[in-house]
Amino acid sequence: MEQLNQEFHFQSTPEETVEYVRKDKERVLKLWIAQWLQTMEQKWLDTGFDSEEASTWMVLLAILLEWKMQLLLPKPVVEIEEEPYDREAHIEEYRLIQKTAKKLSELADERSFWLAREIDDKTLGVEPQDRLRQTGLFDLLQAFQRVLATEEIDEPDEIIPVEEYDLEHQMNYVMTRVGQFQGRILFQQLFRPGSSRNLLVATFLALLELVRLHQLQIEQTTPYGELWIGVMSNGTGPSTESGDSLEPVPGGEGRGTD
Amino acid sequence: MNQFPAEREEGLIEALLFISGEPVPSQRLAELLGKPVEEIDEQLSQMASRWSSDLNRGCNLIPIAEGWQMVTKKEYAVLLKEFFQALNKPRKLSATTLETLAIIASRQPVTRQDVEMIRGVSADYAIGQLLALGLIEEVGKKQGMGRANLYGTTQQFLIHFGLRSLQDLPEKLQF
Repeated sequence: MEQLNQEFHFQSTPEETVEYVRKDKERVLKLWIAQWLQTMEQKWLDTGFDSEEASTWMVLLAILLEWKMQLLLPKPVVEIEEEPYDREAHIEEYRLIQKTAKKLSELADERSFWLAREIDDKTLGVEPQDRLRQTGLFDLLQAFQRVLATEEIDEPDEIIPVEEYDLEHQMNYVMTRVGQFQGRILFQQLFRPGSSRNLLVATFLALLELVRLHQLQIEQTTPYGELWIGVMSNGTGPSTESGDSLEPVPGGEGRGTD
Repeated sequence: MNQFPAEREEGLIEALLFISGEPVPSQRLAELLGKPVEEIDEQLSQMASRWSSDLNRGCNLIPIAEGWQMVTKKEYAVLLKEFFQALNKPRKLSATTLETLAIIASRQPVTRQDVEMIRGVSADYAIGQLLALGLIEEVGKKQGMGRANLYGTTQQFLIHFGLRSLQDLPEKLQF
């Protein structure tokens, strides 16, 4: 280990590690991979876990381990006709893959600055049932987490009052809001900016209740795409009322949140 | 449609690309205007160049996925994303998924085992993610025992990374 530490130590980058081994294949025998891994774990405990860095190191260490294993284990007595394992080529290929992946990431970042019109089903002549996918509770919860993270939440500074929201009223609010957007609304548009956290949660629960009652459905045009709330074809349809009924009423009766 | 007045062709192309939103293949534009594909590509390249240098225009034309797409200029992206929250798509591919995608894109068609051979770890999750995102698809079965699925990239892959074709891949692996 002393000899290893003199020549090379774990704090090097993956690129330096590859270069170190490429200079002399036998050097892989000097690498104490298990101890290396242990030290890195300790480092991540101290400085925080970085999944990207860990992923890169894990793949590299797995390749080095396989390489080392083949050097250490006895050669098979019976020769098997197969292509010889070219360790150097394997490492080089993985290095190129990493470069390609990095370039793809840069391209995706650059592409994100070019915005185009969203595809419209009516324009494309696609029937909604052919295109839209039903979403799961997990998608909904993820989307709601984003709403909680981005909405300006009206939180009191000092005294926290008990807030109660009537679920039935919130259900009416949701249906009315959907109705205002001609029966199809983006998930984020359902939530009013400046609402309290409890009101956001009550609205979300009302949405779940309406989905359970088959009055609304949640749809998605692409995997991980925007979530759309739409009226079920056999649902009772959104209310066309507007005005007062849109305002949430604290202190109502029925199931609520606090 | 090839009777359309030549002086109004560019207007028609602009209207088509605006309505489409997604990339329109050069081949379809060529059929519509009754011209060879090369001529259409040349005409659109000239339009793209003019739009790009015209500071009063908000959009550019870009060659992508073997076609052309109308997109907003990069400098407006931040403001547009602020104005239309739905344009904010924070999802980013992880390093693992990107590496898996890089292998599939560079060496397609490949099997899951081919990917695992290079990365040395299971590729099940990453391939599942890429399939769900529509960036890869099954393109056939490998001959031989097990008939493993072969994977290749999709049109959506080109659109996602702003590539015109697979020839534009940043780095081809030569192994």
